[in-house]
Amino acid sequence: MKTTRWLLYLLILAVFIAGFIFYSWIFKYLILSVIFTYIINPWISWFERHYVPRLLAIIFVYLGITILIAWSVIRVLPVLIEQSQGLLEFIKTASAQGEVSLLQIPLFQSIQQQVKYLDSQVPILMLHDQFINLIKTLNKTMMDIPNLFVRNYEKILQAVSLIAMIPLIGFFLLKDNVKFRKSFLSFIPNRYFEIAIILMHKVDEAVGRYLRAMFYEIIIVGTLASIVLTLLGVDYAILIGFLAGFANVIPYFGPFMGGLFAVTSVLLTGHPHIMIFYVIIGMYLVQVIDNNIVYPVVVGTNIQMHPLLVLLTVLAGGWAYGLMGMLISVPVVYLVYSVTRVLYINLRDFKMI
Amino acid sequence: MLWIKFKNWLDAFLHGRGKLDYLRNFPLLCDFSFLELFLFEQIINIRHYKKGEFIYQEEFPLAVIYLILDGAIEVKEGSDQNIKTIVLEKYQPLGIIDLYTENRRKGVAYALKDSTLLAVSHLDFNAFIRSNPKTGIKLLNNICRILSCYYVELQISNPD
Repeated sequence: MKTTRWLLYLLILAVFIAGFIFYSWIFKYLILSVIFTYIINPWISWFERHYVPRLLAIIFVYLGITILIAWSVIRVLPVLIEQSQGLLEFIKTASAQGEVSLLQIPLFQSIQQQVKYLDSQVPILMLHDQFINLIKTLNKTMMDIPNLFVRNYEKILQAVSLIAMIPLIGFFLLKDNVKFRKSFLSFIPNRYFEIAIILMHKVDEAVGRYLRAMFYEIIIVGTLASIVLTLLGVDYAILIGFLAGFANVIPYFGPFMGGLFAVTSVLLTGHPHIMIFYVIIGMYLVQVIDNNIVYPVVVGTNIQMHPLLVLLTVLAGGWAYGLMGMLISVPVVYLVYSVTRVLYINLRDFKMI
Repeated sequence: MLWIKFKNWLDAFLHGRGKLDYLRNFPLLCDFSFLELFLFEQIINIRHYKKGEFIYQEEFPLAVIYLILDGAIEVKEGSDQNIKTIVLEKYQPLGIIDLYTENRRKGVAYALKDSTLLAVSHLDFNAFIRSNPKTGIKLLNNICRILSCYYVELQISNPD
């Protein structure tokens, strides 16, 4: 009897491991779909509270999102494409003309003048040659940018399929989320049922609130920054605005990164230097609105992480996964921290530790 | 007429009308409409307990309230000298009073015979009231009625 039971456990374990290996490649899809469902689930719940069946509610929300995306494609996308084309055009020209083109940018021109002046004062430094070498390296990197699309077409196709799959998987997760939850809880023994249901609720609440807050903050800060930069006449305002919105996800350092994008754009496009001051003021105003209105309303509670821990997390994320790692490392660490905290408090309350 | 027939069919198709009628046997949910029952059913978990199995123990956080679908539950409260025992039966709620007075369980509860309970997390329960104000008021009204009945019964059984 005992041997049979152990064999059964082994078989279940083997099935789990096989399933894990077989489905491992879709974990990325699943995680992104879960994030997607966390963001839109409250909208579906709103419909449900007004006695609209869940299936219809999901269809309504999907329709709403489709309309919004269609509107964005019609209204915002042409501007974004125009701005991206401008950027690509700039890169192409630079690639075609070599370092000459880069030296047409006022920032590089002024640096070159300073370097020349330094060389004339201290000829032994030979800084100008080094500066030209640097420009050549920069030029080589810029020449490579258009080729990135050609080299990484498989990755681009994967990204497109990812974007298409998320709403599809999300649909089933949304439709049957109550069933999934109940099925999961039905496997929990009675002894652990109360702690399981509380943990599930609290983790669900913490993760959901944080992900939704992040989403709304990106949208609001991105929109505000885009408006401010457009009013100031900064080139690629919408692109930079939304980059700033995404960067804002990183506490303490994100806002600086957003400002840095805007200042870099001003420097590279040869606007008068006074504009840097206006851009800094504008981005600062966006931060004031974010910190005093958007953040308290949308997020509610502050992320209690020490700035040093945030810095180390961003560095570690960047080192491991590049720019994407820098963006998502802080939210991931914060979520892991929140879940661990909830787990610890409840295990202690239920006298299990 | 045709519209009502269509609506009933749609409800049955989308929500499974009729499947939830058993919930109206609970005094807590007796006056709920079908759609209100449908919303409430989403936060319910059905649990089966064997005779003698503990439902909760003293000093546990108040996490879940139960509605007895089948069987009987004994609740023991108080210290060694003054133990108060209550037996709750089919369709009676368990843990409703504590929900608004305590953060922790005051006693222990275990199944007197094989029992089936409907378990609702108190967080889900409160969230349900907050997010469905009209149904929430109905629910709170029913809780008040149940508690007042319980109080009257107590007064009759123990006039002192």
